Amino acid sequence: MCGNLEKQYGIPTVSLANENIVSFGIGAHFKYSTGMPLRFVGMPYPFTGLSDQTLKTYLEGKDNVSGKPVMQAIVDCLTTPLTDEEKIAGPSPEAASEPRFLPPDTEENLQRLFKDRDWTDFNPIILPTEERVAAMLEGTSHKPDEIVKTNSGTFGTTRPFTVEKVAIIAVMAGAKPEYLPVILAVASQAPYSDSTTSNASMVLVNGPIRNEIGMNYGLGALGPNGEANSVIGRSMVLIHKIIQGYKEGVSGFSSLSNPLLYNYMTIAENEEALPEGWEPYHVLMGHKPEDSVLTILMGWNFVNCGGSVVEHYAPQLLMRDFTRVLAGMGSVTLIMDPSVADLLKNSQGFETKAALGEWLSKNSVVPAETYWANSIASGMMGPMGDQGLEPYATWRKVPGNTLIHHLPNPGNIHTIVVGGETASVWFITDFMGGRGVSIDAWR
Amino acid sequence: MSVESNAAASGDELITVLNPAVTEKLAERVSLTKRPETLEGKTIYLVDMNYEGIGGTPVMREMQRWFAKNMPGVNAVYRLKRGNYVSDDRELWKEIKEKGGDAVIMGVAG
Repeated sequence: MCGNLEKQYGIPTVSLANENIVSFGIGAHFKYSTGMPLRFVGMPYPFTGLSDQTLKTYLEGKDNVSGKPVMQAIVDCLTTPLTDEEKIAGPSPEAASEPRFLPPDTEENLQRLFKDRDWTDFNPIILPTEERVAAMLEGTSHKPDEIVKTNSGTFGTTRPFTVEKVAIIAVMAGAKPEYLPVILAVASQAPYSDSTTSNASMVLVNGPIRNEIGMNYGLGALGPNGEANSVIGRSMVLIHKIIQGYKEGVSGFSSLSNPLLYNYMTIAENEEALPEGWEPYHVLMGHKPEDSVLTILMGWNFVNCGGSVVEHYAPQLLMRDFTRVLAGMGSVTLIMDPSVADLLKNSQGFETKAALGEWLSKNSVVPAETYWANSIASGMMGPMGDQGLEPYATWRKVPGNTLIHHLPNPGNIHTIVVGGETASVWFITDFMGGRGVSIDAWR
Repeated sequence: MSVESNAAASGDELITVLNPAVTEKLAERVSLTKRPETLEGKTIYLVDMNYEGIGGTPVMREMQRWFAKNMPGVNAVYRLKRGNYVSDDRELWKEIKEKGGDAVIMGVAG
């Protein structure tokens, strides 16, 4: 926004931000996104819920960027004449192109090099020799030099990559050639969502390719118990780092990060175990059953039901109760064992996944103050409420203890069935995904 | 002695591998706007970007008090940006321009 003010309106600006935003703003964001060396003043964090005295201390403290007192630094940012560097306008020189091959070296040195360049998950990788990459490329009909996507960097910066780059990463992750269409579909969805608030993404595969490549959607499916699941998830980890260029502390600042990022919870739906009338996720999103589809969902929370379903409290009631802990984005994705789906269908009468979503939408409530205490809700929905958008406008006005129906859109409540039927376990998440993309297009 | 020659000297087999890295395109450079020599007599907008969504941060209000006390010749105008912290507020930018705003202090992002 400061860039717009400077560029379009000719108004000098200074941005106040905490250290991570400053670092990004004067680093990767300037270099690859804005092209503007915006002036920043670094503030301590947090900056809410503070006493007046602490606030004064902030303003009387030192700017993290210049080391000057904060207010002096602000005034200087607005009055100091531009440097020659800040006056530069026009096309930037092309960045040095990455060579197709790395200099020959030993296995040990190359493993170290890949780790040092932040191209791994810090486990050993399979070195991508030309022969291995050529064999991997047999897994797709697409040409090695075909551009998969151009705007793949964090915040959509220009990082064009080819089918060959994806095949290299697939080799590194330990993939078989038959996994490559899925991995290409995963790569086509970069950049993935990142936030300082430690969110995560998850990978869902539907359709025939699940069986063709042996994905585990049965016993232990959410754990490290399936080769295809593990390797496809690992590929996404490497794509995030290498293709998207995500580097913690440089282009992203996820405070705690998230354990789901070790494998992006790569799963396939157990379509064969769905109760009658419950359709697979991709079919509900408008695809044909015979289509193979990839969906990347994003969210914050992933909560176990706390054991398994009990006789004396129906599963949908506990699901309703557990919606209170979700991030306030109005989305739910339930991940449940087939035995839970059977109970919901045959004992509780939910004839479809949609019926369960409608029931949860109608019955899930949370005190307004709890909803707004969530920074995802307050940061994103609060301003919409202040501008009059319902239901947020009403929720902003009601007393804090008023129970609000915080999942107003049943269309944002989804169910994925997966698991081995050894316990009636379910997870509730606030993950949200779109329609999904074709894997078949990458065969 | 280079790393490569070190490796060769060790007798280990040298391996040639493909490079996974992609080349990122640098953004076109844009100049900053010329700065005034002083803020004295100028109108400065303190724009709260509404990072937490409800009511803004007291930091900007405190800053307005600081200007009143320490630089009374500066007209420090507080404004809460509309929309959430990632959305633009073109109406406000237009208003600042039309009302002769000389500079903007925007914050606070976390």
